[in-house]
Amino acid sequence: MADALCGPSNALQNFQKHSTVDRTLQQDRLTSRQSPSQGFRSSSGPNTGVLDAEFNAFEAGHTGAPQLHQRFHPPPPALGPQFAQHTHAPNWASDFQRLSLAPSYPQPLQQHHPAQAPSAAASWHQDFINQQASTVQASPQQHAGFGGHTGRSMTWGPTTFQGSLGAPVSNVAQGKQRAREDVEVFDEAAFAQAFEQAQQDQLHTDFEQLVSKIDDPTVRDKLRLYPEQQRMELMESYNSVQASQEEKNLSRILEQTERTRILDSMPIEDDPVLLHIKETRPMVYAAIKLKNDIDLGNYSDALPWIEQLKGLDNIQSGDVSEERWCADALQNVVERHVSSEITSAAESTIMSINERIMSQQSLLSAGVPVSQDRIWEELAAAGYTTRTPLQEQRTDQRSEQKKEEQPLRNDDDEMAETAGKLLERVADNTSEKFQNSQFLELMRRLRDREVRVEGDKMVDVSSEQTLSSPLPATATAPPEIDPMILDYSAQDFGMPVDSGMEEVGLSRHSTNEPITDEISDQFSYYNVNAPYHK
Amino acid sequence: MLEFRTQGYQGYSVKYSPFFDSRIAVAGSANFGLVGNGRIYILGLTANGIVAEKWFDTQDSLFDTTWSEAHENQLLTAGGDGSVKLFDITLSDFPVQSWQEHAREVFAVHWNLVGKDTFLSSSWDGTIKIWNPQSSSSLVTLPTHSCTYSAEFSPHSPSLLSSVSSDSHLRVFDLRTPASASNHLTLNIPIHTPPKPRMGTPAPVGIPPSEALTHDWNKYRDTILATAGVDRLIRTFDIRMAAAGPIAVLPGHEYAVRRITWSPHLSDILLSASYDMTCRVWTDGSAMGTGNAGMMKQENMLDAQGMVYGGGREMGRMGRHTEFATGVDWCLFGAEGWCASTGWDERVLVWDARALMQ
Repeated sequence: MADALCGPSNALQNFQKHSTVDRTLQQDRLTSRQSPSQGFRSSSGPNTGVLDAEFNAFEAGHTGAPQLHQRFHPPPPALGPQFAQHTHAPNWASDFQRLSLAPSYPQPLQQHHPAQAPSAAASWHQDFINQQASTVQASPQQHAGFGGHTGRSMTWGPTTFQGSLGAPVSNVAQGKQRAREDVEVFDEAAFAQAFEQAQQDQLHTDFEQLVSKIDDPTVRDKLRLYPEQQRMELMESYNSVQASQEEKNLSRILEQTERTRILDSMPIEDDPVLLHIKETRPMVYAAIKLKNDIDLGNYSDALPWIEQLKGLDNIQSGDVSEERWCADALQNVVERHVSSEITSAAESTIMSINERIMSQQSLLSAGVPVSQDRIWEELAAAGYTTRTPLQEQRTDQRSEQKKEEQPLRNDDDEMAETAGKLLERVADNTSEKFQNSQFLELMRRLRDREVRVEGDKMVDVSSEQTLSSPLPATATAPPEIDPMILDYSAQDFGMPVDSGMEEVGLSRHSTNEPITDEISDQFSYYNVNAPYHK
Repeated sequence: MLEFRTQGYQGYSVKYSPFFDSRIAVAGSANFGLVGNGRIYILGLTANGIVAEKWFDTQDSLFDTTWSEAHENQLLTAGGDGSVKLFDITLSDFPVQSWQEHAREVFAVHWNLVGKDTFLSSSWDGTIKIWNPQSSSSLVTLPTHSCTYSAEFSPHSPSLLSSVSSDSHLRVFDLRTPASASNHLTLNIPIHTPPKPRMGTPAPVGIPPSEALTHDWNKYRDTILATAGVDRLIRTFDIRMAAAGPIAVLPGHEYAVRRITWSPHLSDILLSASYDMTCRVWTDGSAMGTGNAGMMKQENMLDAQGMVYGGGREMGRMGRHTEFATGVDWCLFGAEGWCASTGWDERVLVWDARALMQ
């Protein structure tokens, strides 16, 4: 509050600000950096000579050099920084180094009392060796890092140190070569067999792991009965997507595999027309078959088809009308009340189809291709149009509804709505100026859709008739199926109510910024992504 | 009253040259700035009326312009595509330089009036950027985190600048402060704060925040700023006592106020342009004589509108514009009342405010 009350040019206040300046970590590091002379084992240090003597003794192998050579590992990670510190040693590092390695080292007294040096040396290299012995196996990364350090100029005997390092390195190299020779000695056939065995074992364990992830015990049992080949396939398809969305896809892949298995076990289709439908429209085919089986009373055969319909909606047919058609066919099945099992299965399938359509077909997309004619044509060719007046009526109704919705759901709508709101606000202004305003007239025309924005132009709608354009193919992946969508979406396909519209409507790019400027809301439909920006 | 028609382009901003008394720049946009091109006009006031000496077309709408304080032939534009362009009127067709850093529409540009070597731009992307014409990238970026409609350097200090934004706050930045977590922000004043309660009046009710569209530094009193916006009120603030709320509130406009500017000649006079299609002249009541009478009245009884505060009043209005008035500027030279205004009626009007003032 004091800040706010004083003027910004108060000298004392600025001084105070300097003292309370927000020092970031970086600034701390920079300002507290110390001169190189204070670093660890700098050559100018008075202790250099003393340490050399110690190191020589250490190197001569007074304390079990062979052991050292055998178990030579890079220094533990904690020691790592030391080696880089001979040029710059921040405080914390030198503190740490004092603490961990040579308690007596930094004492300046040392140089005056050479007699004490041996004891100091003993503790120094014994500590070092103890550290080495207690180190766990180092990772290759640490190897690399260590090698990098040896390349630098090290003040504590670079040549000798590298020499001592040299031995284990060559050992490793030899070991590798030997291993390679061993491999060549193997009988190739035996190796292939062993490899296969190992692969199978691996597959088995992987598969078991996968199966154990599934909650449903019946599915688990079913999976355990899978033959080798299918297991492999399942694992492959699972592994291919595992990285991205493990949990979600697991069950779906399993279901899919299961269904293709069922499908494969179905009687082979011989009618060429139906075969064509089967290839191009698997959902329609399944629905036809389902209807067939139910008409004929083969209720036991019908269930797999429902299952398959449910499974097929994972396959991207991209044709909403097809799915709608199948949903209608299923609805028919439900209405016939054949058996509770089939009815419930059909109902749940309808649900899942609806869920999928509603969550993957964007409400705001320009239009959904409804091409049921072709389905009917194909079915007529196959002789399946005996009695479907109910369905036809319903689908017509649906497509009508869709046509109603479509014009309301594009960019122009937002514009028209915004223009309408703007006009509402100035509606009570009866002054001549406002009545004759060209801008408000433009808003009126926008609201009434006589004008629309196309690219960077205002276009008279009446002069151009470019409606009924097909839906452009979208390259983007369809959105995930939202399992809850039916809970919060209207299913009667009425006008959707967007509660967020009220606040959003005025922004130029329909972001969430609170816009209360009654005039600026003309910009709300201004589109930075419009082609003329590119 | 002189008139010029910016055929096909609706004016968004008008600025008098600080070097010549007869030169005016007007930034305009086609289709009311919704879509389409922009155009910057350089108008000359001649004995034969207003003539267009030069114009430059741009790919996108132009929302603001400002003259260079360092070079009499150069001026800046604020573009709807997020670009800031520097034009030289002795050259043709293309800008001398273009800076493209803002992510959204740039809505204000302003040249440093004291330092003269820097300028700023503010954008709907919630940042103010400070630039040097010699540098290809911005020098400083100051975040406001909300759609910033207006930003200005102080006419009294090269390192003070201020902004108003859609979050209904007036911010003051001091570039002399160390670059710390606050990003040079020294003051953040909620514009919608009601004035302090006074003796004999009921405590003010809370006023909802609304977008602030414009503001200006007083040219004589270096701590006084005026702001205005969607709530139709013009307010003046003293940054020495920012917490005390506005020192003057001037109601009167029927719709949002799009632009205000203090007189370069009189310390208490300011001019506003509004979406109610009028330009109005105001006194904030601080001047000797005129203000005192208002003060006395203010202390004794409530104004009919209940909003007036600080003794200011509307002195006159100019209603010639037939669409929203969006830009207004005073002439720095000659007699003290000349000003220019522009609006979406594609017209630039040059008029004498003294004729309206009562």
